[in-house]
Amino acid sequence: MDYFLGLLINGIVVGSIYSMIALGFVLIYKATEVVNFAQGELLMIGAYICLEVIVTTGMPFLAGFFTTLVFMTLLALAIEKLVLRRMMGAPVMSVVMATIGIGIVLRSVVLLVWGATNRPFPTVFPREGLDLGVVTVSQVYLYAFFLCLTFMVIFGAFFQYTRWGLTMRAVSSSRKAAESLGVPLVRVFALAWVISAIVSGVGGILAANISGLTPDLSAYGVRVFPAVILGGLDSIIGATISGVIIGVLENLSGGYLRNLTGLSGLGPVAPFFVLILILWVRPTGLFGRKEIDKL
Amino acid sequence: MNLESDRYRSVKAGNRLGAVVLVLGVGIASQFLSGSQLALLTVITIYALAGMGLNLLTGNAGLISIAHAAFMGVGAFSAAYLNVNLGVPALPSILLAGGIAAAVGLLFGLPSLRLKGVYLVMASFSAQIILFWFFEQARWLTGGEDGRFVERPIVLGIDLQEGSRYYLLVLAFAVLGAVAYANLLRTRMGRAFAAVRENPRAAEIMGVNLFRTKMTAFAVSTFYAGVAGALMAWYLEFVAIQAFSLFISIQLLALVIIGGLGTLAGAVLGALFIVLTPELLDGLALQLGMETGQMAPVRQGIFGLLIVIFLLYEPHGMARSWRRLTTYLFLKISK
Repeated sequence: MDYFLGLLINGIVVGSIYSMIALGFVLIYKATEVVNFAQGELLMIGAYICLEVIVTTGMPFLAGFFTTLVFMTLLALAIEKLVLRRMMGAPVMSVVMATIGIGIVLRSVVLLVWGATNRPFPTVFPREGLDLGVVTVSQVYLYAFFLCLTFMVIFGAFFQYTRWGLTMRAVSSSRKAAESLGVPLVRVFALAWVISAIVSGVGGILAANISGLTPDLSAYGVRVFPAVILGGLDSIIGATISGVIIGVLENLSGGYLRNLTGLSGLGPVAPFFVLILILWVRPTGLFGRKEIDKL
Repeated sequence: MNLESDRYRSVKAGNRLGAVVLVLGVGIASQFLSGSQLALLTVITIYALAGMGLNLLTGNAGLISIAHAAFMGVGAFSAAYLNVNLGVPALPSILLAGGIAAAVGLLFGLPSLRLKGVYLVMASFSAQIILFWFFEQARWLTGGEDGRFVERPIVLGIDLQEGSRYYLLVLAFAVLGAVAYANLLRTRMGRAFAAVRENPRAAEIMGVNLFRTKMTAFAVSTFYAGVAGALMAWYLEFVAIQAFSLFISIQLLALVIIGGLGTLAGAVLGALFIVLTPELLDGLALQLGMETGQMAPVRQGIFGLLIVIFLLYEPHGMARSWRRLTTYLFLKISK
């Protein structure tokens, strides 16, 4: 039972990080129709920047955290302006390839500057367990979970109640209509990239806090694909809930299926079986719009 | 007007002549190359074949796949198992390997056939992850993380141990693949590919069976990948599953996009680019006296940059530049 609860809680925490990254992914997709394959690298670079700032300048964590977010903003603006804005209207595969190219460049920068070795993240959140009655949970997990929750609430409020949030929803519902009503598309695109880079940066820092920092952290970028599809690709709520579902699924299948099937490494792969299954039976996912172009 | 079309025709004839000369030249040259040069040439030719397959799917039918390295892997290990473990003769093994890859390709292509681009990206990505995981697990087939040996076969009584002789087999398949590619595009099905790519709805209204067309594109494309994979396994002799990883799938996709979507020349030029760029960068790094440890990330970074630069400044790929160049030269000479 403790084993089960441990897996479950781990799954929920990792899942909440997935939710946040999936949010960034869905956001870019909704606003700009770009499938961002560089998300994992954005996340990794965010974590490295934060670590570097804290270690070399000796800043307190919070200052380093916000410096990282500023850096992520600039990086996102640069990527959007230098590459993706010029590719508006290009076929899906070219845009996908462009984000893959950007990802490769970012990854090689990280390898050149910081190398491939595992770097321990300085202890920011206490690691001691906190007794929740039924099970003891490491505090860093709780911090990560609540930080993710906070960020998602902030973005939820942003989309619901601010002028720019409304503008972004208008663009994703109909780009043409929004443009003809005078919405500055270019700025909306830039904003989508900035928000996505910021959530990636936060996700990266939290993930590095939990599991240490190597370039392999970029794997998070693709591990949210199943969550995105399960949520319905264009639904922000869907991405949030599915992130947690996929996190739990990953941990439970990693923890139990090995003994049941005798196959190793099923944890990270199981969500992709789910992805294929969803595309077979219910391509709109849990919360996607029904009017999918069936072509 | 007449003069223009005559000129166009002679450019086409020139291209065809050029292709024949190229194949003969490469075939003869391969017999005299040094070991490392021959190795590069073999890899380029195999990637060109795989690239043709992916280009049919992505360039001609407009369907994306980030799993072609995995489909190559299916072909590679099927051929190895059939030929080495079961004793099936080489040529039937290669064709069966292509068939098995096509069957697996259809399985993963199926769910997304009714959906648009983004879903296909996701589905094929999952195919890559799932198949690679299968390669890791199926030690009886692939040797798992340790890799496995695959003996080069005897084809029609000829022993292909010698690399230069084996290359002729690879070249023969590449030429067959190229001829089939060019002719397929002129058939009803080939035209249907283009129609589906340009506007699926209009194509359907005009009587193109979307489902059958997309299925065919997937099957033919993954068949090419399977055959290329089988040839790769025999070329490598020691096959590690890393030869079919996600990164190779990305390279193949870069190959067709940088080479030129939907063209035969694109597959060949793209293969040259993908294989030779890292080699040239390595040579350059050696000249500059860089440490070996730093070379790999620099090489990767430049590779990524080149992808982005090509997409921005030559979105139609090297084939377009190539055609511009040859047409210009040809007209200049024929004047």
